[in-house]
Amino acid sequence: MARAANPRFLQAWLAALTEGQRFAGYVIWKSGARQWVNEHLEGYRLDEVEWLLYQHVAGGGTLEQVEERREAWMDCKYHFDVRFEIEGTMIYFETVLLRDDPEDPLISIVSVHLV
Amino acid sequence: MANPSPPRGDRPFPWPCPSCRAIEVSPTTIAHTSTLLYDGRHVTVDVPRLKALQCRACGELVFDARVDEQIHLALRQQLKLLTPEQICAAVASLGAKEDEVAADFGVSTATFVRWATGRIIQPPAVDRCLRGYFASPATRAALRAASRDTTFGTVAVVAAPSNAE
Repeated sequence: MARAANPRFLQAWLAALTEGQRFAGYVIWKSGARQWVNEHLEGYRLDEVEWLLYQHVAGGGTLEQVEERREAWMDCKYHFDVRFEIEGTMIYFETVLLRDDPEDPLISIVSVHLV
Repeated sequence: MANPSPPRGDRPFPWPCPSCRAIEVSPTTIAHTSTLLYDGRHVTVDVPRLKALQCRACGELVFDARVDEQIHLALRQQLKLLTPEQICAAVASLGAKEDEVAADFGVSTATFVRWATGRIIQPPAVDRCLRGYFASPATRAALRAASRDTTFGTVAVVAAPSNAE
């Protein structure tokens, strides 16, 4: 069931994207998610997409916390979804908090596709 | 008083794998081929020595902004586009500010900064216009005129023949 992310997870998620603008090791992408961006968002580098994700959620956009029910991914209790527009196209991002400590966060962007 | 947060920096390797979750993601150098959308078509880009990230446990390739930056740089080189460094150097040479150049192009400063930092690759027509702008005072003057006068450029002007002809 989806709901807005709890404050601790939200804080960790935003902190990962903030730190990821300056340092390596806070935001990583699975190959398929990276490939989708390269093949569909003309000219956009991953750091720009990460910044847009941050701006959307920090600006009040919803970070959806979804209880994980897929067998293969049950090691993470939740995944975190964002839906927002880039260049007029609504895009879905599925992310996972690999480290949910706001002081040392790490998110993985695991899937990206059109809504 | 609470202890201040430790200064952040790059996370030391190895990192967790987003696929198998093993703490085994480390740098590696591979030959890599990517497909990127540019100018409305898919362009294949080969990077013979991509400094990539790979899980030593499951073999999954992992990407981050720095890996992606190398792929975009290879695309620029392949298509012979201006690099962010060249754009920034040219702006500095003109003694201009980013907001002034943005105004001459009729775009927001944020858009120009994205081109100048490489976070978004400039479209091919913009690349040509940037080259003209940087290389030619007449082009700069023409773009400035276009931003002031809505009739500018609505009628084609054919160059007058020179006296020698």
